[in-house]
Amino acid sequence: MKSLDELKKLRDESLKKMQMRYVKDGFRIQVGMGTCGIASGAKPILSTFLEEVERRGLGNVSVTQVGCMGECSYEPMAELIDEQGQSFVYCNLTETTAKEIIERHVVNHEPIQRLLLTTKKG
Amino acid sequence: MHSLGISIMDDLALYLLDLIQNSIAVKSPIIECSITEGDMMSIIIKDNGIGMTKETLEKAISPFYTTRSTRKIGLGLPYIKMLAEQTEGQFEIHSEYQVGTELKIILNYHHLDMPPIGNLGEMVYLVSTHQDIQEFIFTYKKSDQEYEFVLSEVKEILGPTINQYSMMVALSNMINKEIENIRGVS
Repeated sequence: MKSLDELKKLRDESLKKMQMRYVKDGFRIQVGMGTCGIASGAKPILSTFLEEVERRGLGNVSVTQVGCMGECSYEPMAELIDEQGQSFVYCNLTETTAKEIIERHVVNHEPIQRLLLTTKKG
Repeated sequence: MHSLGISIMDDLALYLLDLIQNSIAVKSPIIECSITEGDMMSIIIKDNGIGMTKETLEKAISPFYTTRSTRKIGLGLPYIKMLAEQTEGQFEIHSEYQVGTELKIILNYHHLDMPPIGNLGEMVYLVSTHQDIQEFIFTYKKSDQEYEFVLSEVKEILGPTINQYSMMVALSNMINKEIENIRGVS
């Protein structure tokens, strides 16, 4: 690959920005990237989470991709597992609500009831 | 999302992202995706995961068959088959139990019903940062030119920085630029 040097440059820039902050007991955000998720727009949701985490310099959040969660009509969905291991499934996400989840749930520790799957399913 | 409430893939990169998830799900040690652009666009997705038996393979293309437990239908393969057919291309699937699976998709990319190519760089990035991925090789070929992305090489250089958002942007752009060079798209 001819762009190896370019990659090294990118890495050095990125290393400057990140101080290796691996916190074991952090938040985990799992974005549903099954066929249903992808088709309903999970990709921009995943990028929004990643972008917000980096922009705010949050070291205790990991964002991962998972498959179908079984509630396809509520996609795009993401499961947030908080520091205590409690699970919150957020559904029908948009880029705006993804940002809101980071701001309110991750930063301020207040789950957003109206976006939860349990609320929407009634 | 369509106004009818039916979701379909917006671009080719999303179709590929979805299909490659199948290979990731069966924990394939090596996953290859190659695109060759000629009169037609031919795409091969190959893995050495658990493969399928003859009986499973026969059912795989039906939307009413899936091995997952979370829902009763599986649309990944039917979607791509539909895309191949609507562009007057071809779709083939070969699989051998315990050996692996190969998808061969031929698309007439000049066809009116061909979706946009989409963001291939981002697709490669998302596959590469999936927590279950081991090795991923992506190639884009046109006439005598070829771009090859080998995940293990990239990972060796980038280390954990690969998971940063800024790296997602930079790496996706870099891959897209390489592909554009080959495609001769301005």
